[in-house]
Amino acid sequence: MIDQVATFFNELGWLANLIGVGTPIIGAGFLIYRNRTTLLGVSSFVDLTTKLIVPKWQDADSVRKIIAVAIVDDNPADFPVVDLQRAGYQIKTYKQVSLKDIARLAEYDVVFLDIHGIIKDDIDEGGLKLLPKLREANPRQKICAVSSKTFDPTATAFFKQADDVQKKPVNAQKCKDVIDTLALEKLNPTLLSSCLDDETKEYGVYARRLLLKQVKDFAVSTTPVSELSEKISAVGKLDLALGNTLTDYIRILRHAVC
Amino acid sequence: MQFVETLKSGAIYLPWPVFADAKIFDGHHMHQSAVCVKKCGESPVCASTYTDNLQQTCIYGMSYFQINVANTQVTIFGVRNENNPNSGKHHLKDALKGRLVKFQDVKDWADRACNLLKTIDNEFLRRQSELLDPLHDSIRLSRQIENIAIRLAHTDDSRALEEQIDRAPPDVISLVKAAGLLVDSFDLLTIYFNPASASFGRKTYISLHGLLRKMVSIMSNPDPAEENTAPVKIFLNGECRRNVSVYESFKIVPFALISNAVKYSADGKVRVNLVDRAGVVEVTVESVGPLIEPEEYEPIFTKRYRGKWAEKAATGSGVGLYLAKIVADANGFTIRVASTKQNGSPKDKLLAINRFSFEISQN
Repeated sequence: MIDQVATFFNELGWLANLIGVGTPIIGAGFLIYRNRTTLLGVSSFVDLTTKLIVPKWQDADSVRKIIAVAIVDDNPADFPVVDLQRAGYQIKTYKQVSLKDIARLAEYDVVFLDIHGIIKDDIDEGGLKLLPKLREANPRQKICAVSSKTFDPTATAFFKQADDVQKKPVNAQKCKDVIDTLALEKLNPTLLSSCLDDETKEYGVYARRLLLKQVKDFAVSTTPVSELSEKISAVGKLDLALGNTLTDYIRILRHAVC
Repeated sequence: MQFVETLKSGAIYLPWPVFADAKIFDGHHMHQSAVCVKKCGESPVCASTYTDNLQQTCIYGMSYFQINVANTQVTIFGVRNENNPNSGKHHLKDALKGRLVKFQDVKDWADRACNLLKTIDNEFLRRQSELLDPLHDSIRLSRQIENIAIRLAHTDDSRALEEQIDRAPPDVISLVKAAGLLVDSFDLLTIYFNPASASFGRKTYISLHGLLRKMVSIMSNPDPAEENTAPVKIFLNGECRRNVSVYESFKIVPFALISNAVKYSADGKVRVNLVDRAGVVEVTVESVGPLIEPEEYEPIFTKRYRGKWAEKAATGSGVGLYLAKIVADANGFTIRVASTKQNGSPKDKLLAINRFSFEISQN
């Protein structure tokens, strides 16, 4: 059999040999290259975003469906809560919180935070103490300081640390603008994917591909995002920054694929 | 709190003679050296230049230290440091005796002084905060009134708010105007008590033309009975279709400039010009009012300063332009002034065409 094949090729000219052997090899290579994503999975978060999120993402409309907003104010009547809920925002109001609630509050994408009267043990400057603790727990969270006390020089540090400042009462249009702007900054799929590629570039090709697969699988599952650190194991234990960024990314991906 | 003012009051214990803010303060414990009095008098040669955290010996053989205390350059002079033994110079032996000062002692003294000033400042701010606290509800309520007034005027979503205000019933127009003025006045007050608030929040894009239109509509006072002043007509010329990126405080600038022009207007006319050039929008507020002397162009923007001729024309507190400058600085632009004397105006009441202008680049 081998002799017959050898004789067959020996009888052909060199060009025919080249075409006869090279064409199937080049063809197979081309097919593998074209279908590399299907065969090996996507190679980066940017690719994953382009493939799965971008076609379905409609900035403000999409972000409105996934963001969670908290209003921490002793006078929630200063906010158009009903109007916002009618417009499709998920809003939760807190008249008073304690420093024990930080982990829970840090999960919100956007927090409207008053300085005065929101912490039982520190009526005067509770917001000032709460703000840096929220920043520490979730640096990606967007905080809008809301108070009419901008005239108070002792409150300057509070306002300077916030991502935005609004005076009360805030009307519905202003509130929507603030939420949309802050939420789009936090949940921007393009920026998030670049950031994740950057944060994971030190890992090997295999680890990154495995991470992308785990992220994709997690997004299509119904597992709550609070269990993210248990399910994503490709890059070892997730640090706070990577964990927060991945949580936001998975929420966007889940919205796009489900 | 000013360091020198506190020194004058005697509240800070001064162990050694000190030179600060071009004045000598004698030590409570160690008095001025006879060598320093004789050689330098009121202007110690060692204090003619300043280097932070310096210990040195002067040309007359006496040691001195230089240190910064609460942003004030301080020279402690006429002493002996550890590198200047009194056995070294026979003729200075008596002058240097008992005057040894260690640099660490100087640093500790400076730290204590800084702490005292900081404590005074904090206490002052705490009291100010306490006194201003009742403003909180007034400001909130004024905004609530403005929101309600605008809601009353804004009945048709298809039309611009400014247009609807113009067409609203007289009572609603008055309500919108009064509420707008009230909110703007509180905003002025806010910047006055806390200048840092001029740059709170983030810059957002606003329609400069829309803002000026609203302001002109609010501040035009065709009915003299309304504010018991002479009627002033404000003309808005020019257009700007592009938006500019500014802090929320920005409106204070046109508000202060237009209200100033209205207040001092001698002919009842104020012209607000808007010019949109490539990449830059220029706003000019022009009116006939009291002459501003060229040497007053800068000082009129300082707190409580009032121009010589403006003082004669109307009462005022001299804070409007000061606040406008704070906001302009926060937003990254400068307010320019030009005052062209008008021929034929009475000698005791010199009038001029006053132009206040600023440019905002469209970033």
